[in-house]
Amino acid sequence: MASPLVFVTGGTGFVGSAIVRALLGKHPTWKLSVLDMSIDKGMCQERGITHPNVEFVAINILDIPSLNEAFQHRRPEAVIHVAGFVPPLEDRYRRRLWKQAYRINVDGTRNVLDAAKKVGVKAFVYTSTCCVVIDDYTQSYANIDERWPVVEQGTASIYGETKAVAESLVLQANGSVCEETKSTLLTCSIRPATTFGEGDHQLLPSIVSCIIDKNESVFQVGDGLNLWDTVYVGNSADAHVLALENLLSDDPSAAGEAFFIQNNEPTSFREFCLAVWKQYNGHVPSFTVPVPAGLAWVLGAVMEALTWFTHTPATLSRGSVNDATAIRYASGEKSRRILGYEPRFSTEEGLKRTCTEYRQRREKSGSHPKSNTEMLIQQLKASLN
Amino acid sequence: MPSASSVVYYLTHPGELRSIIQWKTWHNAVHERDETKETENQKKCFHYLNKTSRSFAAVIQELHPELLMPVCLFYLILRGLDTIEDDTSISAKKKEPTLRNFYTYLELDGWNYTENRPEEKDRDLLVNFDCVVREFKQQKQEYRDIIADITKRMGNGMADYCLNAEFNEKGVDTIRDYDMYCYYVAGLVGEGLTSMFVESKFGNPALLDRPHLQVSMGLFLQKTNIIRDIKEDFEDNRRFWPREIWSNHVDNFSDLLKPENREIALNCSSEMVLNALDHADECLFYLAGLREQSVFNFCAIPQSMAIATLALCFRNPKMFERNVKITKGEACQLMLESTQNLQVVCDVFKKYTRIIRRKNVPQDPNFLKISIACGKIEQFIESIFPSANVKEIVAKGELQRKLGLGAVAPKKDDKKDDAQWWDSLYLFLMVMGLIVVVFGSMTLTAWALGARFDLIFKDLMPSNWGQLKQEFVSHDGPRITSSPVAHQEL
Repeated sequence: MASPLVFVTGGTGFVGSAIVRALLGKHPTWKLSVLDMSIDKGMCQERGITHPNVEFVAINILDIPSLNEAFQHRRPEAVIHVAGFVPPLEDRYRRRLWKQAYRINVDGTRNVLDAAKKVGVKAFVYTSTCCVVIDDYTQSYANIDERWPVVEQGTASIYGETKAVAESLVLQANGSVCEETKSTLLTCSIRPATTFGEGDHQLLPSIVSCIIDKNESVFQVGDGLNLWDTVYVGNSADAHVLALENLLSDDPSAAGEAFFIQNNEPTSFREFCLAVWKQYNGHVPSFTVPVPAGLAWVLGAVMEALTWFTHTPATLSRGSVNDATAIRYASGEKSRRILGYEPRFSTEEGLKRTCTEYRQRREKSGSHPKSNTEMLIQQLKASLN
Repeated sequence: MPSASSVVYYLTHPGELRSIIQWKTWHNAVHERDETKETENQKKCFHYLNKTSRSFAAVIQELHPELLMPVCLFYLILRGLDTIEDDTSISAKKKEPTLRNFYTYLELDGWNYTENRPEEKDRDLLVNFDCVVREFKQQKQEYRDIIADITKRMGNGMADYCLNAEFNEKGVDTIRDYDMYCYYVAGLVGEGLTSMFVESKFGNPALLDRPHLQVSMGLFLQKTNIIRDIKEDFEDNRRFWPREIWSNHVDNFSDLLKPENREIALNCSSEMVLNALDHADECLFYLAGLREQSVFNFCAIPQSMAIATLALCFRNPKMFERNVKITKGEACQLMLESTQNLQVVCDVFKKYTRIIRRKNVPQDPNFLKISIACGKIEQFIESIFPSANVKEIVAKGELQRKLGLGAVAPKKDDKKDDAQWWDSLYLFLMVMGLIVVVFGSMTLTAWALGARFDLIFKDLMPSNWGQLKQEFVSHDGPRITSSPVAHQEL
């Protein structure tokens, strides 16, 4: 395979930049175009994606004419579509931001997919999420695999639902033939578990804030034994690269398929938090206050009711209690068999790297680094008005 | 007569007492020895079996008649070999050839061994070993070959260790050496037994293609014993914990036993447990290959006991002070659960790995590794016995992929919605009721203690509002709601 041109949408973000780094590491001769809503040169440098073979294009995936122009002008052979909307934690189970989520995740994906089809892109890897299956919180998900159905509209979270629609668009497009170039488009979907890693603005910060900003590490919701998956961003990036290589190979066995990607080391949410705190600054709770899941759920419901009155977002809700107590982990069998994916970093190694980076970031920017999502929401509000 | 302390124990642990009674009353052996058909010599062999083994005698004697005698003899032969190896009064020079040639004695009519020191507990067996030899010669050639082959390899292994001065002086060095040692003393037994199971058609021949499974069976048991017996072995001047592990925690092996190092020793022992847990899933996998109930019981009981013993030893400081062992009640419970089917044994493993996770503390350097090892065992069990109705879910998934999203949307059921609405209303009313009760009783208490509600009401009159508002603003900054749970997101 000659050096193809690969588009990476959302390529300066948390997961996107890790994919760009992984691509540069494994295929230094490939040409990459990183498409993102705005390009922050300093951040690109910081995230190690500035490279002679990487071109940065500021583009909004909701802006169809510019998007088509970028594709027509460069004619990439492959696309990794990472750009998407991840609601902030407090809105995870609320429907307030449904419109934004749908616009970016579904319409945005359709736009990128259409633009790719028009110029005869051969391989399209979509960054989905495990939430497309596991976000219906009336269900338990022990050792699930890719045969499980995805969530239906109105049954889960806005994130899981909109990503599920987008994923089905991507997988349905598999095998479509470009009228102009007569080449066939092959697609597949990567469903990473809850992701942590360098540049993480959601998981690590919220867990660390339990010991820095508040003193909440003593509370254990539920029995603390419910297994749950996480993935280190470097492993997730590896899986994306493997998927792309597979689609570009002579035996594209991943075409039309979805894959759960995780560290293949399920632990409970509680155990993960304890490990993060210990890694971050050696914090060990001096005692444990077990809060029965049922009680926490009622407290969550009360907080939600208060939220409804006060309009201030609460992080404790029935949804977040469920996130801490639900059983949600997947089998790594299919990704191993078809993609040849084996996690290169253990959870422990990943946490070490993540905590070191986050500690530095906090020191550098004061105690509250601004999150991507906050910035994104601001921009969105402006663009949607 | 049970001792007073055990009476108290079982009165406070009625569940365990129940297990003992259940086991004694309801346990039916799959096969029972038929003593009327046994020769005098066979009876003699069983006599020595009962004399030399505490835990294995019962399960061996319940084996299928096809395997009963061969396994009994296999046990006695290895016990004999072990008795020579263990005897420190025999010089290495004399011991070595005896160990290496032991397998040849199995064919020597009337062979016995009288050079053990008198206090060696199984000395009698070797003194009367001719009964074992006589019986051995009656067995099918296939079983004799298997037993002789394992005896030969184990004897050679023991002889090598016996000559290895470094091993005898410093104990086990690396984890590889540790695995090797356990392989010689236990893994080989697993190999021999597996060959016998397959030979008798009671074991899936595929087991022979995955030799690491049977090795894990032996290693899991052996490592558990080595962990549990730390105190006893140390006093006998034997060191089986590998240096590669203990040197992560202490400079000298003997420091592990010092009371002031208890916390460090516990961290070391949990690293040992972590090492042993690695074999657990393969043991369950192996058990899935057994096709006959008595053979299954024979293999499953020691494994269940081992996982329970590991959980008992895990972060238990008492193991450095005295010999710890599971109670008789727990042992009976485990035997009840290990003589049914694989799923019940898997539940046992799940239960004890969860006990280990509950005892796991973040102060332990291997905290995360241990919880991951336990998680992997649970995931493995889930993969063979899924808790969900996989068939139904997969059918739903297939339908959805065929017909597109929306195909399996929950149908709007008015009745169900109605019920849900009533549920919510009841819940709401209950919460409100609770609040009224709590508020009421607090008010009542306050009143009883002399609270002046009349003054409070006066304060709340409209004429005082301006003042109140000022206070509210000055005292209350912006409110931040906080939560003990952060949560997941991509």
